Amino acid sequence: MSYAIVWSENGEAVRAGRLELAGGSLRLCGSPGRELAYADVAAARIDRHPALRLAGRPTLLIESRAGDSFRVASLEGAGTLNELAERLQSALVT
Amino acid sequence: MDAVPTGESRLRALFEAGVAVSSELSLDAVLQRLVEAAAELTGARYAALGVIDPSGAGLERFLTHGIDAETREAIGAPPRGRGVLGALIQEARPLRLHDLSDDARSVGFPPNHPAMRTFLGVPVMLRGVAYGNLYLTEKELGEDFTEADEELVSLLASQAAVAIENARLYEAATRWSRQLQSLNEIGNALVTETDLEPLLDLVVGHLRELLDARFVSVALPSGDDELRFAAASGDLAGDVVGRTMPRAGSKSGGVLERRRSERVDSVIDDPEVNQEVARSLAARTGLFVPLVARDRVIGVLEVHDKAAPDARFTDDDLRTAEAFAARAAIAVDLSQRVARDVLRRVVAAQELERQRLARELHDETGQALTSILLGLKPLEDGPASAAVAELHQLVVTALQDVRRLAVELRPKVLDDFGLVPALERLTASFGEHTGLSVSFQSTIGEERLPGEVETALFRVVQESLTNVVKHSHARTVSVVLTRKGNGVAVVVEDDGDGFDPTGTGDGIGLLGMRERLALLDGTLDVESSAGSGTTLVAEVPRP
Repeated sequence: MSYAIVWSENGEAVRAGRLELAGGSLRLCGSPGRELAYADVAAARIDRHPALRLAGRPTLLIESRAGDSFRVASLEGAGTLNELAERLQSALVT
Repeated sequence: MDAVPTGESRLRALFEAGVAVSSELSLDAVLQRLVEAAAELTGARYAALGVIDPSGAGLERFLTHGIDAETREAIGAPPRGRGVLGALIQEARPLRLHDLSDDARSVGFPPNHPAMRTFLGVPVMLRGVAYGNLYLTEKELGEDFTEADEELVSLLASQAAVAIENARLYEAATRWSRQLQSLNEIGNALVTETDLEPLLDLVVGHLRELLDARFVSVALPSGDDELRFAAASGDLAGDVVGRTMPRAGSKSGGVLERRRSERVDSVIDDPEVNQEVARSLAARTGLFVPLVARDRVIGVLEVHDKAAPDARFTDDDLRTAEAFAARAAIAVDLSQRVARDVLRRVVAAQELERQRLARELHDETGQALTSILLGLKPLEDGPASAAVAELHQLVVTALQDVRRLAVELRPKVLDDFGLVPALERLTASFGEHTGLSVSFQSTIGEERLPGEVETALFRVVQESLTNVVKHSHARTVSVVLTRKGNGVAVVVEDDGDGFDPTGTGDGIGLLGMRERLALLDGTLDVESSAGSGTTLVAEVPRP
């Protein structure tokens, strides 16, 4: 399953690409891309605060155990950010 | 040997032979009686009757008198119609010989064949059609056959011809009756059954039974390059249904393209047949018939191996297969039209629902939030100004979200102002949000297109831009809306990684776009290769 997204790592420049939920990790594909094992994810939540949005959209904040943070906004329309968050939560639990 | 009958007893023997022809005996029994009668009436030691098969390639029956089973087995295969026997058919007139070996046309006897000298042969003919020959040898006491013998045997041969023709007419009538019954049953099913699978099963099952074939299947196009076995009947049917084969380099693909039926007498010798597929079906012979509905070729009917010593099919078989292919074509066409109609209704209902939700969000929720903003205005300078400011910001954000959601569901501008302004906004907003350089150009001016065309092309562009972000690593994208031929086309081109369009399946939603455009008789072409970007052309004819 993959989603068209824009994303930012540690508040840096916004990149466009896709997020893939693979078997043991999530992949942020773009130039360059990042891969984060589910075991290395410390927290994931949806943030709707105006200052924390990307492209004017609410974001999914993913924090790693190493202290990095990734903000992800979905470009695929209504409801997809919640869907993405639910799938990620389910992957983290399993 | 008994004495040769004369006078009244000859008449009685002839009468009995005549009665046998009109009796309910099997053809073999009737012909055997005629052979016996011929031998008895002429005093011949040996008699035989050969019946040529309808194709003319060999004997379908060979009945003898005077040769026991052991000798017959030792002789081997029946005569092939060369030499004197061949001349009998070709010249179509009786032949009497004092000594067979003296005749220049004689080719001799096979090993273990009894010695034969005197000969009387007559063609078995009716209304100018040769059905075989009746011949006798070794008249008793070494005498030659007489003119009277010839007349008698010619009469018996005529009766044999009548019996053979009657049997063939009966067989043909029975076959036609079964065929009509099957076609009628399929016709009834077409009226009552809407699922394609049972209809095609009915067609292949009935056809296999009628043609006495080992295997019958229907293959339908799957994508642009393959054919998929949608139904099959026969011993390998379970393994075959659902399998695909490439169109290129296959007989079915060729027949689909040429729109012409073909009979293949030897699969292994036909260079167009896909030998791998043929081997998997253990096919030796075949019929390949295109399924044509409303001037479109929509599949291929494949029949393999007549369940008979000679596995080849006849021209009659081909005509029967064509009649069944016509019914199968109606079933496939009907099913496709029903599926298209269902998809059209689903898409229309989905768009209507999106339109309602977008309007509700924009007009009702948006208006309510705007009213709250106005209500907060007088409180901004009051004692709780900080809390009011925070509430104000939350409401502004919620209002932005509501408007964005409404646009994402279905942009109002598409309904109010048309495709060109809607694409202008979509591409501008997309570039702004993704950082890609997105350009849009239209050459259709302010012309409005039919609503369903505008919606379909808008959704194709929306899906294509999403694909660019997800898969291409492109930096620039151009979207061009233009007239093309008698229709309108939208071209989306990027400078990204590209891909192999033949190997992606539906991973990037091409199938969905194709189906949506097909509802409008439109097409989707994708040009791409690794490292050279992608160009997608969606074209819809003017209604």
